[in-house]
Amino acid sequence: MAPQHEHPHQIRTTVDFALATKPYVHEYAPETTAATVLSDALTAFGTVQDGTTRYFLFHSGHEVPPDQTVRQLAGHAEALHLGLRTQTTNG
Amino acid sequence: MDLESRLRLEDDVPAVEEFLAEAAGHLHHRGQDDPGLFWAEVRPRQGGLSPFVVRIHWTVYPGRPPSVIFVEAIGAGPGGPGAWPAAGGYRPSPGDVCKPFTAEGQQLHAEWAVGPHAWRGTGNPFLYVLHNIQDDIDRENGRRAA
Repeated sequence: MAPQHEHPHQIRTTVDFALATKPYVHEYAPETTAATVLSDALTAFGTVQDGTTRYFLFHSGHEVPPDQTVRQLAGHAEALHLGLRTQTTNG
Repeated sequence: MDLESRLRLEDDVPAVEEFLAEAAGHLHHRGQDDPGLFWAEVRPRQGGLSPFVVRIHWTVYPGRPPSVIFVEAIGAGPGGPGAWPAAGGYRPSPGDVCKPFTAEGQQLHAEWAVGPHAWRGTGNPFLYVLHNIQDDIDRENGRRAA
């Protein structure tokens, strides 16, 4: 019998950030929200949130709403590619 | 511009070109210009709008943020209000982008030199600067200051 995966439908999620030397890659359950992915990615990139810079995920030319799930974003694909963007403060 | 800066720019420019092309934009570098001087045509993603032209000048790459100025055309000096996006921090007068990712912003705000707004020269800072400019323009639906 073939080995069973504990989470056979997990979605391999990659987050790119222009200032990072390598992307953040993690397997997420389909119901995971973008807010969770964003929080994890920020931690992985060592980003310090100070409340004046807004961080958001970007997919297919649009900002990702925080309540959208990995499954909704990936559709029928088994992998998801997102970008991390910033809205910086201004003087 | 020192040799290391030139080599690092050569490595990072293709990703910038690819990014701009996604929205029908384009990155130019003229032979007669300083090696760190680029002109980016940034087209709003909303479509049907003419591109903004941005003069981006790196002196030390990736160690220092670039000068970022909006112009009327490639090769021109600082443009009037019509050349600038209607976005916060983009100032036709005095002609600067007062944001942490520009030389002008960092010069005006000494407090940005440390902490979360300090310049980061990791990864591909050229792409990071263009991400911010494109997103700031798109957030305003491509509207201009005048």
